[in-house]
Amino acid sequence: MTAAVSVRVPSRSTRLGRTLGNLALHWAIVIVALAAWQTASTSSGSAYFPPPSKVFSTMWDLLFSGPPPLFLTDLVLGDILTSVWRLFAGWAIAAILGVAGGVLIGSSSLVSDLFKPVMDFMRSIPGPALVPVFLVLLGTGSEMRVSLIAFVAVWPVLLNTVEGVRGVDRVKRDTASVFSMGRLATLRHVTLPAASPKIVAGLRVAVALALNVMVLSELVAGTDGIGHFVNISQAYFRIADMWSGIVVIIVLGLALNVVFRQIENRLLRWHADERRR
Amino acid sequence: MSTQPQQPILEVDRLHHEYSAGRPAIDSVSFTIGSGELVSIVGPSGCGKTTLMKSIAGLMRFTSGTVRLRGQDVNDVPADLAMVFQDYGRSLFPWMTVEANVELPLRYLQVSKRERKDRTAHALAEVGLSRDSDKYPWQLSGGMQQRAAIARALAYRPRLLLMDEPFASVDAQTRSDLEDLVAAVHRKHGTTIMFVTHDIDEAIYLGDRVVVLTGAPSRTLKELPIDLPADRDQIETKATSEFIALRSEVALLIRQAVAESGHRRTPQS
Repeated sequence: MTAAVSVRVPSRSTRLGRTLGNLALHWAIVIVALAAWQTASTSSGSAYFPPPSKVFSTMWDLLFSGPPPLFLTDLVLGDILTSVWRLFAGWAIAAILGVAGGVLIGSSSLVSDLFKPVMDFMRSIPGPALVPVFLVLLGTGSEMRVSLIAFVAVWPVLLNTVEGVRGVDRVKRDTASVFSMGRLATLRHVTLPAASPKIVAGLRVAVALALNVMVLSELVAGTDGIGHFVNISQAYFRIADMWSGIVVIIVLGLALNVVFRQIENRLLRWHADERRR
Repeated sequence: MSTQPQQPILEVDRLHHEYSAGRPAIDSVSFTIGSGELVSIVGPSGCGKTTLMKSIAGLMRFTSGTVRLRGQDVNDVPADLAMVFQDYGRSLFPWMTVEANVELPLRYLQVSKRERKDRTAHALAEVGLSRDSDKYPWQLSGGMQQRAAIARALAYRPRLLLMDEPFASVDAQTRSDLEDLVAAVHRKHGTTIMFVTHDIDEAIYLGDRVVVLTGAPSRTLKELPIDLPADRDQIETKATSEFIALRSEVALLIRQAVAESGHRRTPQS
């Protein structure tokens, strides 16, 4: 009478086979696209659209022609690292402020309702529109760029946290009360885990926004960073360098996405499994 | 299973609640539960049983009347109280294993880590979930999830265990098994239990006493002592003439209660 409910899951080998098949297909499409780019740009002969072979060899030199033992260039250790640091710092500030603020605001339906229009308004401000303001306020240093990233990235985290906290199941909150778990214990073991799917979704949107704003802030009045590198390369007509910088940004975005998905899978395994049931 | 409440654990006196002024959900409910008693509260559906339960658990403020737990007025959630909710799927935490679910409330009691582990293991063994302690709630069947919720309440060792229609959403066979589990736990540990249900058979089968409520706005209609032997059996006990007589009595009371509340409601609407 109390047999466990078994969930029908495809066998490990079938799943692996399917994953490998998909992976092969994905790469096939990428290769076809690169080949198309290669032929199109070679046949057009345009100086502005160098073939991928040129872009990638330039990129390789730009990144890995440094001194041993790491062979990393100043571009990597200077501009790229600076950019990644700014991106991460801005995002982390947004994450901390967004989750903390979201928990505070979300704890009361009255406060949530009061703040809703303000939060919606703030979220709707496009990052680029704020660059002049932040330049005036904070100058052209890293503070300005990190602050801008944090400012733009905080809203999705805040809004999603409020929504997640508001949405915690009444029965779960009652359960915590009945068992006399205090406020902090309830926050830690009930509210935050229950809201975590929403919070993580917000953090993910925030990463994408942070990357955008990071590049943008470096294009304007920049002195370093990968965005600045792209800008300078264009100004000096180093077209292959410019494209290399763009590819680096794309790869950065992809890498962030992969890392995020891994964290998400770990953290929210219960959520995915519960829903699949 | 004495029917004489010695020192009452719970005293509910003229509890009255209105969600909005002039529209009472609970008119006047009074009853007591003695130490070690299992009292079934039964009434027609929609008679405010959940409101009553929440008032006693300190989860909501009632309009007037008193609820005393061991002589103390209930204003906030009392510390030595546990509850098994009808909706086990929503009451267990899906991000924790069954074991962690059972253990979590114990972390906030003054209990050593060793005793915590001990109590958790014992409670899980008692409900027959020892081998499933590492599973997540959603990996278990409904009946097993409710067992996990019962284990959580048992490990907490409450002075009063509230059960709010705990078996309303499991199948019939699982239901009898779980009823026998509650009966066994009650007999073995002398846990004081307030068992809310709309199922007459269940109320009589489990109860030392049955409190019958009228329909909304509810009043205590009658209290019946259940003089059945302590050792009860799903088939034999339910076939005895005493059981059948009690069942008819409660059923008649409830029918009367429904009719009465219908009459009372007519002039309002």
